Amino acid sequence: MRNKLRKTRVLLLLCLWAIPFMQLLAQDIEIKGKVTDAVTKEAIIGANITVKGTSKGALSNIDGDFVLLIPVGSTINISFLGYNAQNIVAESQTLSIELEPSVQKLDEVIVIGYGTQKKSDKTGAVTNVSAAELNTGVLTDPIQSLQGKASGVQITKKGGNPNDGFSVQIRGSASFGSNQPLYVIDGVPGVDPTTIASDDIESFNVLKDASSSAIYGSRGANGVIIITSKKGKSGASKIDFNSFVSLDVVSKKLDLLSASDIRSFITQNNISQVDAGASTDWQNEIYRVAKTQNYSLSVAGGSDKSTYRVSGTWADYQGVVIGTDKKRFNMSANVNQKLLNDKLIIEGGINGTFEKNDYEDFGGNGPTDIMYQAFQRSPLQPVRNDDGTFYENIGYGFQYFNPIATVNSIQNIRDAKRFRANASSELEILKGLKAKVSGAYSRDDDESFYFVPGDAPTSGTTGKGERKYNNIEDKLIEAYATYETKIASKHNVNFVAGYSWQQKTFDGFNAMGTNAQSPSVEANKLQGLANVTWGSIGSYKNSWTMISAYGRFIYNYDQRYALTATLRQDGCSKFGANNKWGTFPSGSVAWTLKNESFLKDVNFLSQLKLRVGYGLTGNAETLESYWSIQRISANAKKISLDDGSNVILFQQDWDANPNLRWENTEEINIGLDYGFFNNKVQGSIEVYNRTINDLIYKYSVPQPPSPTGNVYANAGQFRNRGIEVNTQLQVINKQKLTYKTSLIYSRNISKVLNLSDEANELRWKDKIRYEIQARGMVGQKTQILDVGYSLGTWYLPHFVRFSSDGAMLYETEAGGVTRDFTKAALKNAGSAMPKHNIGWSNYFTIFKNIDVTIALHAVLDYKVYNVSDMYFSNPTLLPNFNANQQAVDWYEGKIDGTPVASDYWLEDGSFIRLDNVTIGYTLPMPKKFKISTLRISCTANNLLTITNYTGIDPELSYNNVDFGLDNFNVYPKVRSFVFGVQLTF
Amino acid sequence: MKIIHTVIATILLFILSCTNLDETLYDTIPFDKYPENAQQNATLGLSAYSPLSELTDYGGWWFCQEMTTDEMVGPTRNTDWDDNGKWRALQLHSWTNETEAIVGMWERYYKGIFNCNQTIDIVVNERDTATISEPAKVLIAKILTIRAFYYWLLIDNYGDVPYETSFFHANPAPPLSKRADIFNKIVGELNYAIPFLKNGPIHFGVSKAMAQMTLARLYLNAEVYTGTAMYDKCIPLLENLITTGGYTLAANVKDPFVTVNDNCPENIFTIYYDGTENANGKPEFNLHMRTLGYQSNVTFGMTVGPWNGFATLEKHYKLYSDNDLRKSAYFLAGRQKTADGKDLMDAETGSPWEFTPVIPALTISEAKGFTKAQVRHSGVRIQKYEIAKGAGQALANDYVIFRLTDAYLMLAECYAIAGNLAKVKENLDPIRTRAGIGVSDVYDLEAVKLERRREMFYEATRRQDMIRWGTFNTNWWSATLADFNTQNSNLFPIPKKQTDANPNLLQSAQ
Repeated sequence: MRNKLRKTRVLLLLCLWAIPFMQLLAQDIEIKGKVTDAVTKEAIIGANITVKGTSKGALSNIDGDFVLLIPVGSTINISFLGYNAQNIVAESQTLSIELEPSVQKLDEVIVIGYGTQKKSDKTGAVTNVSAAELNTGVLTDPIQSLQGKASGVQITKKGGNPNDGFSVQIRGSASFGSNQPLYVIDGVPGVDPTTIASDDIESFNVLKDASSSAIYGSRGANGVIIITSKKGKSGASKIDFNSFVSLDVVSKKLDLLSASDIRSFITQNNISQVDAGASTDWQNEIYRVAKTQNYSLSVAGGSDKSTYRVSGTWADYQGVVIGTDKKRFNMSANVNQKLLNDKLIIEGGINGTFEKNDYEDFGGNGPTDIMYQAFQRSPLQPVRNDDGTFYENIGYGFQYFNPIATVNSIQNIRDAKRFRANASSELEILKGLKAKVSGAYSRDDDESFYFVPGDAPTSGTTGKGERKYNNIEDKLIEAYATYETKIASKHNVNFVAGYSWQQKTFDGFNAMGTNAQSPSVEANKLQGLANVTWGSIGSYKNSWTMISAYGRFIYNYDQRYALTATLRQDGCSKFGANNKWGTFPSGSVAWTLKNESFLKDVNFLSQLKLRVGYGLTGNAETLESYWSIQRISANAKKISLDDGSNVILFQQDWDANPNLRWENTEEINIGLDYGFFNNKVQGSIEVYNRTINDLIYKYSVPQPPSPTGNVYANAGQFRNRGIEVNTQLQVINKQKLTYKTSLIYSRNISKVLNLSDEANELRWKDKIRYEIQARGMVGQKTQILDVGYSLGTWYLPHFVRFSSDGAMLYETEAGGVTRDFTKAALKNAGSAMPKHNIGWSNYFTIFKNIDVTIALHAVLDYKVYNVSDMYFSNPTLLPNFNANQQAVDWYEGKIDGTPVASDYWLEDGSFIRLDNVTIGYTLPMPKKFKISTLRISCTANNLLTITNYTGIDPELSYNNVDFGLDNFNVYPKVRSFVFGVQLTF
Repeated sequence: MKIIHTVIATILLFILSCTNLDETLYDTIPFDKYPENAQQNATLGLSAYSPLSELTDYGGWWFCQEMTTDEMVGPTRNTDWDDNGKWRALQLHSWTNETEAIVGMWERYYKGIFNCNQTIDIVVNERDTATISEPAKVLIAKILTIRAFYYWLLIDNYGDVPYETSFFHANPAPPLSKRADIFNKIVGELNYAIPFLKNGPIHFGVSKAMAQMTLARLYLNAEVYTGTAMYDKCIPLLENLITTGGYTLAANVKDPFVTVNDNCPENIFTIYYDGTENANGKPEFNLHMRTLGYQSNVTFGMTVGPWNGFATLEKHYKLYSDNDLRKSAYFLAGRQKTADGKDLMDAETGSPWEFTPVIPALTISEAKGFTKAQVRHSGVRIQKYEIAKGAGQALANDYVIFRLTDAYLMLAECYAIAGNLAKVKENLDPIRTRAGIGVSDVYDLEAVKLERRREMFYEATRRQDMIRWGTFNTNWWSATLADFNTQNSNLFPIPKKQTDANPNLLQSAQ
């Protein structure tokens, strides 16, 4: 090998001697260079080399080598993220460039809303996660890539339906309406985060505490997630192709009986039973091994003056339950142009997302809910008859239908298109003073089709066809000015002042008919349905406008003391007449102890900073338009009492409340940033106390005189307190092996402080709540939401033991036992809110071209109510319907297993999930292929879930105040095996 | 620089003009614009009737009047119809102030009263009564009647309740008014309204006969409501109704209850249904679903399978003799058949569907030793309201609240109490003859009560009748139902949700 190399080098040198003669004539020389890391001496792959004054450029390959043909004497610039860039005048023809790594992470820029800030200057609780640290593999929504990466940000999804979104809960934010954070994509607030492809995301910046999110005023209470998309970079065009395919399987099935189990049960217990003679595993029939594919292509490049990036991504997520599917195509293009000597920067971008979803019903236990129908269905019955038609047997039980037939007969699809355009221009008027004007326009529309043919057994109304159309139009105009200056070398000030106007209009339309007469025409021609009644055709329209003024002042003295103050004034048309405008102030200070003289020379300590922040933010999402004003609406079609003709009944159906306003959050945050050993170990600890006031809910008001007995009003008050810790360690940083690990921990304690408002006679009425939705269990509630309790508190009869004749005994108020659960005392049985949230990510690089990532997260110490276990342990289900092994044991033990809500069915839901394990190999590429990097990777998602929970999956979703029931009709979680190929040209 | 000046000026101008935060309504009418035109003016009175349609289902009224008596029951069949005990609680009289049916009734009545008060206030619009036009006075009279109807149901069910008559000046937390006082007020309102109202036949609006029927029921039960009997006041009122009301008895026992019963000459006041779902997506008139068997859709040609629940009790079913036309018209008993006359086989038991009169227990479960057939088939079911071929979950038959036969029976009862047996015979015979059981030899009060039980079955009068006759608190199940609450439960408690919201309702609540 070495001999060969030497020979090649000699040859090269000979050629190099010859070339300059030719180059002298052509005025261009060929430069060969090698870019390495000054510390580790490792080659830097993909370093950007540009030639000043031209659009020529190159990227370094896997050995760090590059070749350029450039005019003699020109200056080349070599740069790479994380390193200090270098400018070299090209004089010699071989260049050996060693780049110095920039002081790790301190110069990193975080996005804080209407501006950016150096991480070292940060005063609030802001977490930045860049593209390299995000999760990989099968991501049904881009927000999933952030799971387990930011402390205090709980990203969960109950089940694994590709058509379901994720719920994101920051610091225990809660509301009876929406508790989801505000998403800001490229400066546009309120954008749906699924309209951006994961491959287009540059970074996530999460504003966690009120002092940082107050700049977003009445929408910042639940936290703000700022997503920055990838932009072009000056230099040679870079083409990125990223693809993966995966096989997805159901990670855990519900543990029910098989056909042979039921047959042996029948013989052992001498029961006479109608046996259809088949052996069907209904869960296997509705599940399948699914395939996911994702391909993305992007081209980015530009010169010093203008850069661009264009990308397209196509993804097809097949669901593991038959009949469910999601296909999505994203495309985006952005351009950045500098004019007037770099004083004017114009940016523009357009974005389009096309999505097609295929749904099946499974949320309840009705005729079309295929999961419940599959679970309860007798395994002794076949899927099809001998002649190929589906085996039904409808009278066998109440609403008993073959789920496979349902999947084949019902069509339920949605077609969505989202389009967004934004443009901004920033002008530097004077030194340090910039003015920026930006605008954005977006249209989200979706169309759904629903069709049940007339002969489908579930079609109670002889078939139904329905089409719906919803359209959202969003307009935004913002203008702000920034003034930044340095006074007397030690005082840095930064002012921002701005104005924002946003208007969102919602409208929609639906048409439906029953008595479908043509199964092939479906819902494509609604005239094929014979029965259309009043109310089958409907439409709506509403809108809201928000006007805001905001300002921020940042002051930094000598890199030691920093102060940030923000103020925002929001007015919204949704707010009631008595509360149209809201004011949201915040302030935070930071003391960088490390830069003080007494710590400057402590070498092992590389960072120590103390931060304190206070802020007031609002949540306007829960409030809907027009709740505060009195209106009359078209309610029904009736017969006129005078002449029998058709008339429309107009009625007032709500109580108006002119005092309605946003929900608001008041928070104090104390943080400590630390770093040791040249930031080999770094992290932060945050402690917070946040009070959520004025929660909107339908409170009870006296009836009479109210028409409904309820009114929407602000009265509730919750409190969250917690701690967040995150640490990153650069454990090993050698030539052959690097290992970086990141550990996050958070704990949030919630408590309800107040739920009524005596002054306004608003009474809390839903203290005992959260009903179990199972057959025959109407009215059995499981949780309490009242003053003094935390969210998700189970409030159930306490199971003591079984009586000698097999009845369940519950504890009474007096301490005795009773078998009548209505006479049992309800007790606090634990909480569905987890105590601890942990995330642990590990990043390895081995032998410089093998990378390994292992990421897991754990949610610990909370209770889940296992409704599946309760419902299917009922011996009376046997032998007609399917049940679990416990039902068999209880039948034989003569135990009364009638489902009753009690703490017998609560289980610890703690789990540790191995989210992704990735091994990637970057192949060495010969120069002639012109490929800068080729990486193949294998990823396993949800490879392992360690838990004691016996149901399908213990993960809950926290986008509501009611959570914790695992109601046996949850889409199964998925395990994926992914193979990916990534190319950069 | 000039360009910059222009740009900044434009921005400032834009900022100043864009501070308008008034809400623009697109799909609803702002309250101050209503009514917008003559057409809306003409239909102002309609909202008063809208809560009526929910009374036969989640509105709770029908359940509270029937399921609490000895003529209808909703047994728990294995785990079906357990529903946290809400049906058993009605039959056992062990309901609480949170029982769903009781909570639902209050909400519907007061929604109706709200609509009535709002309509009257919009029409009167704070003007002097002298300036109100004649048509407006007629409309107000009709609304007052409907409102009195709601208040009658309130005092009948709950006793002392708030009495509110204003929309513009509503009391935010009204106190209770005494039952007897409300009785006097609504009797006065009905007497005021009757001269304005038209004679029939009108079937689903307020007519003179409807107001007279409401007033008659008030007088009939006056001893329960006020402590003073007023049967004598009932007699001239009902005689006037029968002779001049504009209604005649139907020829057949089934006529008032067929699918197209809009024009039945005997129906005085009905709840209009057209077989579609209401605005909330719930089927409107679905009592048939609750009583018919799982596979009864085969018998009737329905498009959806019923829910196999409610049944009548054996003692009630035995009141009808075999030659009584009502026995086969109202009830579904014995072997069930398919459309071509064969036995309808129960897919789960393997035996034919057979509705047996005996209901062995309130909770019929295999765990307690009953057979599968007993669980599913016990109890005679009801088909009083015709189930048309092709019927779905919602029937199009109008639900009858008042009909002429009721007036005859009430008159017979008053005459029996007065001792005028000849008049009793005059009023009972047409009913008996139509039912095919011919004349009788006994025409005393007991005979009237028996005929009323047989004829008015399923029409939400049984609870009122049992309370008036003092039999509501006796255990009609005898030994098989030890849990029956024999305490005085003539009144339902005011729902907890209401007493929590308005503590004034707690004072002196009985």
